[in-house]
Amino acid sequence: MDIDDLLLAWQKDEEFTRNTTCWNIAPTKAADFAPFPPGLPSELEQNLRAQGINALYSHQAEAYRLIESGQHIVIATGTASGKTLCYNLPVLQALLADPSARALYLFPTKALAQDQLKNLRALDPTVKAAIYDGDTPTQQRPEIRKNAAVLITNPDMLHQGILPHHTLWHQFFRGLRYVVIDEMHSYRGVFGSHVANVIRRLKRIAAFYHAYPQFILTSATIGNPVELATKLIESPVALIDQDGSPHGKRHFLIYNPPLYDEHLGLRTSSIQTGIHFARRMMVDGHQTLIFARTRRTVEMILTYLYDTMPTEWRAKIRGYRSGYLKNDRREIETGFKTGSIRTVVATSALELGIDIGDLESVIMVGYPGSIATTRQRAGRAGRKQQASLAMLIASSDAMDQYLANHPEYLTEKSPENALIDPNNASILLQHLQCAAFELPFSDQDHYGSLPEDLLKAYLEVMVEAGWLHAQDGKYYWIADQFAAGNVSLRSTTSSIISLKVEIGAQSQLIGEIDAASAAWLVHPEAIYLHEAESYEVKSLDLEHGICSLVPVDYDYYTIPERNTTIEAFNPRQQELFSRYSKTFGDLNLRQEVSGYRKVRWQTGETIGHGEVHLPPSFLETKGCWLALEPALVDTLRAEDLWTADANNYGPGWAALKRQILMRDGYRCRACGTSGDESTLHVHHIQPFKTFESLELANRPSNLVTLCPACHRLAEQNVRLRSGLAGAAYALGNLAPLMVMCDREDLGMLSEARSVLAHGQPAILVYDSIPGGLGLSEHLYEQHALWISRAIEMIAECPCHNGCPACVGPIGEEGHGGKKEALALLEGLV
Amino acid sequence: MDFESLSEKLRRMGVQIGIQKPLETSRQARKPIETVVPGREYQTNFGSLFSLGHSYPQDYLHGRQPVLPQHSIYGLARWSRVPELEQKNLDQFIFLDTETTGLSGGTGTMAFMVGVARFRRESLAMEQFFLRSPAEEAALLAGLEEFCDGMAAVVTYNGKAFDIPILNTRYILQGFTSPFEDLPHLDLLHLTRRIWRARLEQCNLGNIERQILQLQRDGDEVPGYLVPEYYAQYLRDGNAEPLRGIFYHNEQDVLSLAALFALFADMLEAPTAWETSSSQDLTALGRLLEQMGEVDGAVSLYQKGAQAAESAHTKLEPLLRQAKLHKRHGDYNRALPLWEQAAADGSLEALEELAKYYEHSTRQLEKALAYTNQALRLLETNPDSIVFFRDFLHRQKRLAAKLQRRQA
Repeated sequence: MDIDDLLLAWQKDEEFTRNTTCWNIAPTKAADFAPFPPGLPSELEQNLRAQGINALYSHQAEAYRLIESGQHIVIATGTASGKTLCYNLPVLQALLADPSARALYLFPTKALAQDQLKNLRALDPTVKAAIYDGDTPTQQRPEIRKNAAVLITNPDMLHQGILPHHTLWHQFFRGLRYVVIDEMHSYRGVFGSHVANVIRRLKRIAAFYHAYPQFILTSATIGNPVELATKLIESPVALIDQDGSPHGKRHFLIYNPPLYDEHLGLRTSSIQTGIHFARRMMVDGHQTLIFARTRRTVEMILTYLYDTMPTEWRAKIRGYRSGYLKNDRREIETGFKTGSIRTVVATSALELGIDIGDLESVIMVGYPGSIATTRQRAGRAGRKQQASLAMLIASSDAMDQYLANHPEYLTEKSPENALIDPNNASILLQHLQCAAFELPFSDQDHYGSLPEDLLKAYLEVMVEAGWLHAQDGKYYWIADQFAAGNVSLRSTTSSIISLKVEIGAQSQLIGEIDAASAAWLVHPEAIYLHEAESYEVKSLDLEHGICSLVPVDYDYYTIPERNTTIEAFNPRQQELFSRYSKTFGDLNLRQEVSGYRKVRWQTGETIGHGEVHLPPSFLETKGCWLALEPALVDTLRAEDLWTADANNYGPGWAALKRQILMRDGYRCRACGTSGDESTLHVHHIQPFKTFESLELANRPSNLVTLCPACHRLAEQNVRLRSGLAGAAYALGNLAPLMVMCDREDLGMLSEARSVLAHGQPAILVYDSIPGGLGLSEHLYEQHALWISRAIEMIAECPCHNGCPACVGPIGEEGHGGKKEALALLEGLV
Repeated sequence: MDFESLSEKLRRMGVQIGIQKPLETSRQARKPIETVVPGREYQTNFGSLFSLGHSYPQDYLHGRQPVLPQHSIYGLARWSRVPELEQKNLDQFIFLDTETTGLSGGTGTMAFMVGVARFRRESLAMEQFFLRSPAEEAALLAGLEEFCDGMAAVVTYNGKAFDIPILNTRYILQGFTSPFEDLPHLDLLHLTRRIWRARLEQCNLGNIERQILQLQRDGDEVPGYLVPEYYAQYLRDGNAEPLRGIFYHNEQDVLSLAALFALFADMLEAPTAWETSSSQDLTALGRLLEQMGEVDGAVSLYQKGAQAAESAHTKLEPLLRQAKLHKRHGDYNRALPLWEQAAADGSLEALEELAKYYEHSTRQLEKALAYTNQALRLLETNPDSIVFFRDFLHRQKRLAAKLQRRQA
């Protein structure tokens, strides 16, 4: 069945249409052609015609014209709009005219290089093009260095394998005319900030050889292609964004799984819904790519699919995420391209320019975190001229629900800006070391757009560190180190943890993860999921980078409990209002995984806890915080809308506590741990503060014995529901939409008695990347809009007392923080 | 932004800045290099630098090895596969060794000392060019080029992988053309490995010095891996005293190059005159000569190697290689006794050659069968040569059949 017919059938399903909050159909679009440009060499034209290309799309012709005129350009047209031809034609034309000319092609991943080489050779079989990456055999390298006219590589290889050895490439650099940076949108955040510095180093070295190459960048749709391109290459660029390519009919749907308990705001799981649709696609014969937000979700979806589909389907369904080994990934890519694999469940690991051919349907389980990513993922479907479907299934998270109710955000609003900060202190320092290794700095030197005095300050730090020797206004690298060897572009830390499975005496490597995620993904006793198999972590050796796993067959998985506390802070900007203040400043946060919860697979209920003892990590970053003035807290308290104070349980409490302990047999009712009066706590099931009378609050049926660990958890749930936590929840979830970033780029914290506010309540949102990328500063500037959006979101929510879509999940006994959160936020207007 | 706050900020961000304060022990007054070694200002067109010169008489012995070759260098020239080197004079060969700021290579590794030597009139002249600071690099490279004027080849130890790429890089970085680019290069490490890899476990220069040149370095010696750190420390504290040992280390390295060069030149020009008691060395040299196409030399080395052999095991290789050379020239008269000798020591290869010879060349089938049976008996006690075993079994069957036919 054609996708169109399938959708027609679904359209008749009343429940389906009721839950579909957005159904956008982009009609078939015809191509906008332009004739071959006048200067195009005849051999190129012949080869184009041989491939059945008799005209260019308008944007390809425009690119040719602009490149010929010597400008730097950025091409931001849709997926599969023929961006490759935009740069291949003018570059090949120039190489044919000048045999000493050279071009450098940068792709974010190695996977793309082979396809690109084929593209080039199809256009010009005589072109001296070569791939130069970690897989290039050593004996071929000298020949490539000398003779390759088009060098295809990736930023990591450029950074470690080419720039530090630039003298071996002197012919190449002397002839360097073009630098092509494909998939520019992938260079954002930490990676982008690194790559911007690699480009600074590239330009510095090219200039040493008197080469000033022209840059050609391509990008998927992002909000700020010109800004990002300008930041990456630090020169003005011309934009090409009028897409002349055709496409088939495209359906874009947002499906919001229905509430099954309106009172509690409980919604059918997006994962189960996604699996439901995936199965229907599979049965109907449509190849489908399912995007999940986390590595864990990928494994959960796989597990469910394997469980419910006939065994012979198993080989046709695969997972794809970081942590899988390279060979497995290549096999899955190929299988998907050839069609032997019908369904792939992937994380963002599949995003970066990996060619998996034409897809009929893409299902996104949960909002991917940004408009740009949503559009890129949706663009995976329907590269040919036929109809295609992209479907976003909203989860119960606040941001997803906001988008399900405001789909115009996704369909009309321009996508996010890709932000980079090449001057992030830690990243900058690493690349200044590499740059100093490559060429000595002198007093008159520049490094990109870095202010002179700042460059000087960094150079002095490096002298003091013993890496550089300063003499007569020059700075020489004298450390016995290969500077680039210690710098990884993909993270702020470079260490890797190997995942080893022990079966008997055998030990097998099944994957790798970065050390930064190890504490919460593979802490001891965690359940780690890989290719839908469960493993229990036996030990995690951070020092040697080894995690030992054993296969298990448990009916639960684990969720880590992550604690963040403020170690130190330093305000930079502050504005005082009558009832609150806003501050932007530096922060040092202590982060640790303190424990974990065991959650049963089928029901999602918590069936146990455990403690984790791992060293904390520290995050030096920037944040924006709102601090409540005592006046506001007093007002809220007067209106009975403040529930974060400590309690006085009344005079008879000690005796009552003993009585309850005895009743419960001196055992924690949640986990069964036994103890005595000093180690066990007695907890109010419905929070004490919500009762008017002491007697009612302290009646035995509202009291229960808990161990400290379970009690802390129960109290945390209470705190979560308080207005402060509710308001913070709403603000934290809206923040990524406000500053247009991925949700992982920001962290959120609320404290009833915060050091940030002299012991008053505070809500903090911070950049989760060391050094910060300028996100929380944006929030600081837009705080009024931010607050009013949060009020709107909470007020619009149909739930009674709070749900995951507004102020956070509702806890036990019907007490939510919705009213309190709303009151608090309105106090900030 | 001032320096204190940046450094403090970086530290708070968790950036590892391993501030290396000068070590207490070296916190002495600055001690310039001029007061440590008796060098001089060396003037170039690109400024002046510091250099320590040496001159050694032609009959100088390094360890037990003379630095001057006793014969011509034709043999070495042939080995280098650069025929025009045969026309060159001995004084056109440059012995070169660098000391660097790091061992990783790449553009950030500097050669702060370059020791070079060449024969001049009646002596071996050496200069050790030294960077008192990296700012003198242009002068060093110019001085080096000047010293090397008219050179035909550079002689190094592992210089193909290390010293010369670094120097080429330095020349490019200074905007010069490297005098070593496309220059014939004799890397003696490669030759050393060909001769001694089997007998000596390590072919590093230190080990070759001790084992082959019989040289012991004295207490001034600085081990190579400490060299970068010593120099970095000198740049920080200005105390050149610890560099004395690096000058010594570099001088010895360059002398060893000259001595090894002389040893190899004589070895290749007059192979049979080489005095060594090791059968393995003789066989290795024979192998080298064979690869260079010098069959007569190879044969005589294999003969000497077989004679010098202390065990049947080390004897087999020279015997069989020698026989193979004769066979290639159709000289079975000389090959046969060698195979016989090897067969007596249990060589399956020799038995196979004998069996083949008698079966196909002289059609003495009984003799061929006898060798085949001898091999099969040997193989019964040596089960891992299953391929050999099948071949011989096959041969045995064929010979038996042929014999039967002949009798019929």
